[in-house]
Amino acid sequence: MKASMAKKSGHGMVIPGRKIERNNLLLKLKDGKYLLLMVLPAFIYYILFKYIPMWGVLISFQRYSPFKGFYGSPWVGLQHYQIFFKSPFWWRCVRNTLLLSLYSILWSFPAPIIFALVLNEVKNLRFKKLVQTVSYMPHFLSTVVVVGLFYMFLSPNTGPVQKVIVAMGGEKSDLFAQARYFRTIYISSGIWQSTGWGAIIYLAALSNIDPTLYESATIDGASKFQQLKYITIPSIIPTIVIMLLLRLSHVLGVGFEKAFLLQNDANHETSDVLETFVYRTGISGGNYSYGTAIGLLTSVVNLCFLFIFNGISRKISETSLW
Amino acid sequence: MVTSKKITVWDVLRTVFLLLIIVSILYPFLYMISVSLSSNHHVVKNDITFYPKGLQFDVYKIVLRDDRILLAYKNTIIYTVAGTALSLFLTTIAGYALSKKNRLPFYNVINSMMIATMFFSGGMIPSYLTVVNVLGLYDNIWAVIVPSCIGTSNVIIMRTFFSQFPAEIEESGRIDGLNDVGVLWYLVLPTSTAILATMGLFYAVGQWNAFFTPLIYLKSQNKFPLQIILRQIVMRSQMEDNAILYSAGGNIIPEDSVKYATIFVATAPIIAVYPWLQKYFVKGVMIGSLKG
Amino acid sequence: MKRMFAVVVVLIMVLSLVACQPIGTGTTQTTSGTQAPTAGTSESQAVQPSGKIFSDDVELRIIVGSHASYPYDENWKIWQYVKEALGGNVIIEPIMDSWDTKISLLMASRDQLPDVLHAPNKTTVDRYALDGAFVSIMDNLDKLPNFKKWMDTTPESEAYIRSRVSGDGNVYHFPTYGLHTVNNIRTWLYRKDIFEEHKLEVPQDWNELYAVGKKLKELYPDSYPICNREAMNKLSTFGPQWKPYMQNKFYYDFVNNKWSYGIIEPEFRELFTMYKKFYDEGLLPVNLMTMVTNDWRTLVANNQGFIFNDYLIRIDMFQSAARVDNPNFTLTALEPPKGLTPNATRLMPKSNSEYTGYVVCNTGKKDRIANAFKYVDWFYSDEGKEIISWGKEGETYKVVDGRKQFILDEQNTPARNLYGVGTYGLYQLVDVESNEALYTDESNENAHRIINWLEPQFNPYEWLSLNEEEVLVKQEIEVNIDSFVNDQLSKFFLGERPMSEWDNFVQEIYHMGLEQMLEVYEQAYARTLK
Repeated sequence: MKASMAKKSGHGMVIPGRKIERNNLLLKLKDGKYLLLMVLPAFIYYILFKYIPMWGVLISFQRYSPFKGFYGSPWVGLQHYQIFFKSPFWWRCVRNTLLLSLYSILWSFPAPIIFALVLNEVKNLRFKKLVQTVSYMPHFLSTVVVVGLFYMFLSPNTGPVQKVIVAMGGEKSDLFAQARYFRTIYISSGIWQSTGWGAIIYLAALSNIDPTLYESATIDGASKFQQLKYITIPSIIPTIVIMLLLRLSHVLGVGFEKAFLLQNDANHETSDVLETFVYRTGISGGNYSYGTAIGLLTSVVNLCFLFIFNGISRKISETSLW
Repeated sequence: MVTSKKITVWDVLRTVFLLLIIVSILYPFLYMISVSLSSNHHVVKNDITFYPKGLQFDVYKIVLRDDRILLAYKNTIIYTVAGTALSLFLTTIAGYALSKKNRLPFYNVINSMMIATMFFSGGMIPSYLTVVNVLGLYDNIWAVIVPSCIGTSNVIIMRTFFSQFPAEIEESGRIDGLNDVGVLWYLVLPTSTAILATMGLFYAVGQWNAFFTPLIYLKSQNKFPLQIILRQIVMRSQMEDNAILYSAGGNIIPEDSVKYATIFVATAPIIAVYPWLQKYFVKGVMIGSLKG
Repeated sequence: MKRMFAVVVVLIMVLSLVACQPIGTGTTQTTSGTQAPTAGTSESQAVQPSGKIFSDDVELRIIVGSHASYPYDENWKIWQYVKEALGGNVIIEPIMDSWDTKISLLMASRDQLPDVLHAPNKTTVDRYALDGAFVSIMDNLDKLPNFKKWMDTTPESEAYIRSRVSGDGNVYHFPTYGLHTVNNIRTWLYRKDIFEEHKLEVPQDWNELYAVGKKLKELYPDSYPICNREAMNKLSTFGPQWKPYMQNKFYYDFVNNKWSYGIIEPEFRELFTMYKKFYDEGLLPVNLMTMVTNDWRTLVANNQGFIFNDYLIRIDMFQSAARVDNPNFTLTALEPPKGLTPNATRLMPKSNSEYTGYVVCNTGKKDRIANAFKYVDWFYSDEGKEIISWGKEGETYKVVDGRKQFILDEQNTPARNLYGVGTYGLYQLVDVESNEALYTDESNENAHRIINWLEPQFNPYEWLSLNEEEVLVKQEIEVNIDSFVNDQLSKFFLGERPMSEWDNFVQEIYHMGLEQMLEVYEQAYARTLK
């Protein structure tokens, strides 16, 4: 069984042309011309739509005005960064962003994997289909609607949840105004909304597993748990690792909308994140550059994080982004 | 896969767990449907729990009365079909080429170039100026489809899937005289329906829900997709705080009813796509049969 | 490999620098058909022989906003009358959604700049005025005979123009006049039927408000008698009842003629303490800090809230829904109760939410700018005022008992949605009666009472424009003060910080640079008074 796994993963294979590669670019070009051709449209796409507009990162050092344009706008150096670091709240925002992001990776990331594994065990195809279809429906609700539903169900006046709490001898309270519940609400609403959708990619990975592996395992007398441990999980590990790396590539960032909608003056202690902070500062000046500047800063930090995680991942699992 | 026919504790636990998930998701949806079908007076009093009270279809009439809706549906379907086909094609060939780390010339340059765009982007105004001034695509339907047609993370996921394809099968294909395009077409794709379906779904849903790109690149009303029209309807109802909705003679419609009705009008078709796609998720058998 | 990479990088940099020029590179014309600049009507003739303002070969592009509640409709009759009267080719381009984004894109690609923009708020004007995107009004008064006539004959015009001054001291934004937006104001409202049922006295001051709240809480233990929402925001509306002109933010104190910050006033502390007492004793909703509109609406509709401060127009909304079950359900405006300080009043802040108006864009072409001014000036003429206020007799309005009334269709579609009366681009100089005809009589009756409860002056904080350096100070100081104050106020309110620390709190605000910020406002305000 192990032998077939190793064979399947394809690592350690000798690929023709590999030795020549360093000496002879021409040969390599000849060998890979179709591959190059296949990647060419994407290359053109990236140049046209991503790299030509890349001058936009420079406006973080300007006081950019759309009317004056790039050449007409004054350069202000690091002014936007100074405004950011002068604020007494910048550290709180970075801390909140990082913690919220890490907690949601901790809780939300495994959820679709577990769900996919459980679903994969269901034998009744009709039931499986039903669960799968229902589970991905919340993905189609906008954040505003999901947050609205949470407000409604947890409301001390009209929500059923608080009625249960009161019936059990508890007291009505305003859960949204308490800083300690912000992360719980944020993350649990995220799990509710995206577990089913997130599971799709793992279900695809699971369906790619060679069924003969299970057959031979059953013949060898492997139990269900052994099959899970030695066949199922190792087969989807590359997908899990890639998804994790993709998630970690924006660890310093949680998205603006949901944090903004769940935020109020009473829970700023945990709910004020970079995006909401940038919004508050930017809006008062109508400043296009300020957001760009903080965006650039976050990107650099994210990239540093990713370098570390990618390195670790390459060492441990041989799967990496580059 | 099926080993025994007796029902174990795990089977029971699993079923209960999944049923709980279904209920926790279906109840809010049931609630939203009920609100959208209930009379205004019940909605304002908030006494709807499981089923509509004072059944009425006024809200759906308001949403569907807008004569732009039909055209917008048509536009959205065109953008979704064309966009998904293009995206899926480009992502597949790029993902496949990138999965051949050792054979693709300039692999490192291309790969790092692609990953860098996940972190650095020019932002909205520079992108807009490129599409409008350099490519001249203002108010052109290609501007809705092309600028967002490749998702970097999707290329990476695709690459990961292709790199797990058994190398010896590809080798034998090449020995039989297939070039890379042939290997991809005849050997790899037939066994990759699950990932193709997944990616297709990701792109289709993305395109279906696209709002911002059409908003900034389109001008003519007759090219607007569904999301723009629906958002205008929802916003009209959300302007409650501006209070003008309740001016003389105007119908008083609670914003939630409109919002929920709009959700169902907008999402029912795309939700229906998924059950149809599911058959592609059980085709992993192919690899085994090829190997044998 | 490295060389290849370098080549790619250089190529991209060259391309991207080409791309970042705001104006298209000559060969690349946009595909839309309305881009062509106006063909030259070189001399600015007065009125065309046909009696119209523009000759047939003049083309003007007008950008207008579109309100979600009454979205722009190209068949609106009022716009058709306007186009008829003006002549030429007037093209209206509505922006249906995401105004700020679309405007920034218009500004960025300059060959798309329209001739005239109808800005639905002052922020848009302030954002681009200092960059030279618009043309100053006062430098072009010779092109604006009707506007000049309005200025000279209307005593209030000075105050209206002052509120439109931009950060550089120039005026770009044409003032709107004749709209009174009381129908959209926030006021105290109370359940008249409940008060009558229990023979309760209408509160005259905040002590009586407290007493009547207590009484109602006894009668309806599950209720929140004073059913406000929006956390601490309402304190701004209550401010003047405790000290003239006081707000919970920066404000101009017209009594002492200086700028101040509401939170540091001793009167604010008293108001805050009182409001906290309401909350602690269950008179205010337990989730006041976070309550969504939905939740609040349920409370009021289900007899769990009797007095509250909200939009006047809520009267119509609640009555029409609640009278199905309870025909007596009546909401009425309540004269603001007097605060408990020596200089208390019974007034509320005068708020002018309508900072809309035309601006002429700096297209760089003399003819286009001259025509643009002619266009806007027409809206200040008697003909213009009549058309945008009422339309045409027999078609859009009729005269009944000497009063003009809009002719509505059988579905009773509001005149705004039916004809476009009072929508973006169609108010500049408006007949007050036309505006009132858009609301219900009940709403107007209450509005007429409320008008007497307003302070005489607008808070200049609402319209004051800052210049570039001042905006920078605002970003460095005011944003942080606001964040700090909002956090702390809610801590005091919820009892997480004892009220005994209030004086420290005020000191902390000073330490964050309050005085520097006040100076900025003094300076900016002095500039506009010139």
